[in-house]
Amino acid sequence: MTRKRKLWMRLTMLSLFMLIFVAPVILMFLKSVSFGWSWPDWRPTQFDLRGWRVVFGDPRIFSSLWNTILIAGVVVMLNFIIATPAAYALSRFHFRGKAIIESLLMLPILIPVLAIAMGLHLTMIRLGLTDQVLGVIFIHLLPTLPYAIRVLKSGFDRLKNEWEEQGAVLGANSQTVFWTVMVPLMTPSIRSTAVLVFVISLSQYVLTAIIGGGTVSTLPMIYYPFFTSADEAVIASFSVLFALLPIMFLILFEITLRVYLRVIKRP
Amino acid sequence: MAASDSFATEGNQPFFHFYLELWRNDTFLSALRVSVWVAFISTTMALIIGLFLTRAMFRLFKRDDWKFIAWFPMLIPHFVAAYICFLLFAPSGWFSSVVFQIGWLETMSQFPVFVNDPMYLGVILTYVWKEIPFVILMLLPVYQEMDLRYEDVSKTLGGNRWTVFKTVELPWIWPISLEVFLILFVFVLGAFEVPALLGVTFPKMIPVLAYDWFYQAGWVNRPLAQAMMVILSLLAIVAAALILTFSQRWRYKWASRRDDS
Amino acid sequence: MLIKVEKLTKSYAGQTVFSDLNLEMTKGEIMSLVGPSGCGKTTFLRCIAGLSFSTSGSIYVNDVNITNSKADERPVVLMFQQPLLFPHLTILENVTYGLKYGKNKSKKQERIERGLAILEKVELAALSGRYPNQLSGGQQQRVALARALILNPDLLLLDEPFSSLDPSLRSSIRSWVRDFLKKEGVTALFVTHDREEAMMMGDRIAVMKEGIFQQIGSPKDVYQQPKSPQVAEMFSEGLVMEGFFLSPDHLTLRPKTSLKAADTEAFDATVEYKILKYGHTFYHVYVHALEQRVVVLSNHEFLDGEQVELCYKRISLQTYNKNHPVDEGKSSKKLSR
Repeated sequence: MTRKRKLWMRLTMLSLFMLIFVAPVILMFLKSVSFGWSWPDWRPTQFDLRGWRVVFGDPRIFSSLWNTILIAGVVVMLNFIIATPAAYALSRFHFRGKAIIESLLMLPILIPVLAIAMGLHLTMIRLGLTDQVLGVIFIHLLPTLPYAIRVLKSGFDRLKNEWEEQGAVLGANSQTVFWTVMVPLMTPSIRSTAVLVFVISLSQYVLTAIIGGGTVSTLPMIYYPFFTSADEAVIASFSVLFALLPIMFLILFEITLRVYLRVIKRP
Repeated sequence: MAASDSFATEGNQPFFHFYLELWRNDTFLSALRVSVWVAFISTTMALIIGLFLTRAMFRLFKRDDWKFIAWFPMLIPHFVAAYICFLLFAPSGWFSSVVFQIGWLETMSQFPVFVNDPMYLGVILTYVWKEIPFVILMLLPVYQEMDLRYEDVSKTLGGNRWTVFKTVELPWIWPISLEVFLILFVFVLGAFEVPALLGVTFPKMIPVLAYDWFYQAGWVNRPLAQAMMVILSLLAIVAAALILTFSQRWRYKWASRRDDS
Repeated sequence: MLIKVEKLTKSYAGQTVFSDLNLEMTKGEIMSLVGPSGCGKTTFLRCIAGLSFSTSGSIYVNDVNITNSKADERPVVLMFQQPLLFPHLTILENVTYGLKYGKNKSKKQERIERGLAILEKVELAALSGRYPNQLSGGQQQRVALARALILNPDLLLLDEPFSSLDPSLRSSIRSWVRDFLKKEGVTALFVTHDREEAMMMGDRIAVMKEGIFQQIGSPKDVYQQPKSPQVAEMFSEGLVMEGFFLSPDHLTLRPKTSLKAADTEAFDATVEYKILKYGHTFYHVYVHALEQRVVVLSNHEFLDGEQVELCYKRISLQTYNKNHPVDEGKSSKKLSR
């Protein structure tokens, strides 16, 4: 392939990617700030923030927003606390029954979570975990943990044992090595895990509805009734809010990571 | 627990009462049909398109910064993706407007039905859009680890494009593709969020139907809903076991063949 | 003795990796440990570093038993094949890692000063703010060396640290490293599978095969007076026979027709090919009777494929080292007894 043709191909492919993956989201954003944009206009004619004002004027949305962020944040933290040792053990040690444990950990990906939630419903009622945030957090671990363990395990797989050993022979104990060598080298996997888990938790409607029983109000609980409402700018604004949350989470997480690296870097 | 509830019997009814009842239930059967249809079509399309895009991008770009664009849909919750699909493909949507501006339509109702349609085309489109990134992110590492010298060997031996793909790439991507297919297929089969927004009242997809039955007044249909979920789970586990053993054995065979050479 | 290893044995999954290894090193000594891959030399090194644990036996550093202490508690630093510089840290931050996170934490100002001082010594102070990926392979190994030596370890272990470098760079950096270690008075145990590298780096050489030290001695001793056919095959370039050894410096080539002197024996041999090196002609010849190849320097002109005689004085035929025991120290003890 000649260089010129390759450059041209690259541009085409990149534009194709943008067109497929990014352009629809931009359209949604335009919808949320437009005024009276309806069929058959192919582009907005007037702009207005009314949709956004309605979304932020609704007090239910504010409290649900807080609930959603709280639940997703705790779910992300719990995922790291549980998945990191599990992934480390699966990646580094060979033990009897490892294959079985790995398959068991895959099950929540393979069995529809709806089935598990319906099955657990009565048990959770008995345990008193329904209709409260704690139960919702617990049930959100089901669809997230398998992914977290998978992503972190492949991160550990890629990280050679020698990095830890290098830290150890330089005199750092295993805990220090973990925080000063492993965590920085694992940032891509850590970032992927955090965002993936956050988005999955944010996207749960049916699990929250069953276990939360309508008492625990998260954003999706309000979104579904909104969807049928006729006001397109409002529903578009609400949708953009959903798309913004993970992006804001990613930025926040990235800042935290950078600050952390800065702290451990000092010579 | 869902299993034990669904086996619960009243009086002299047989053990598998609810399962037999399901089997005679038209609503369930049509839900099963449409669920398998949606899961199969959307997963296959996502896999093929994702494979094509990964191959193209992997060869065009040395660095993989571009994958952040592909990451983008992963940041969007499923039901927002459904809304975007609605915005684009609804009779009052953007494509309909564009086609009107071109002059091919006179009224909104002439636009083909893509959302809330009995064929679940909108649902399929949404899933394809959402799952392509997942396919790319799973396949890309495999391509990056692949030894492209085999490809050169195959080319110098006079293989055409298809032969090269079949003999060099396929052995590498085959097991992971199966795994991706399985994960996505089962996910689509059991996910509630998208069909709840873009589906129709008949036929419903299984998760939507199960949710309906689960919450119907008096909990009469609850065992039926649970039985349905048990069937779905069993299907998923059996499929997973089959496919994973198959791909494992296959991977093993291939690995040993490589050691011999 | 600074370092003393006694009867160190390691077995894993029912198989012996190495057994009964004894080793003593004085301060400032560089010991090369040479052996084929899979002979257990890397595992031995890892046991001394504390990354792996022996089944029995003990390790003393300065008369302190460290056999069961963890890697981070030992006064020993290991350098790996790869430089393994932490990619998220600058060169200076890499070098001071052990000072910051090790047992004897020092103050920040002191860390920076010592870090810059050692970088000065390895001639890389100008790059202290760079990141590892901006350095060449040789520079990275020098940083790794500085990062190890800043801790003033009692023993520095090097596990084939030059094997990841390309050949031309390798020879220049290894002489640099040797001079540097000597200048700093570092005690080092250096593992390699390369005979030449072992001779160049080590004051003494330990030859390891099948989990046993076959011979420990100066490079010259091991080369000229191998203790066993195994050592001879692995380390020397002479002719190996059952019960006897012929050092290459006692071998000469001559045309087949020549007469035989009274004190001289000869093997029939065929010239396979010749190479020119260091201003001389070296002949690769095949000795039929022994089914061995040997390289001999000669001033005669021979053709490829020519039948020749490989001569040696009967007196130079040596037995495997009854008179050249394993270790000078031990032998003197034996003699005095």
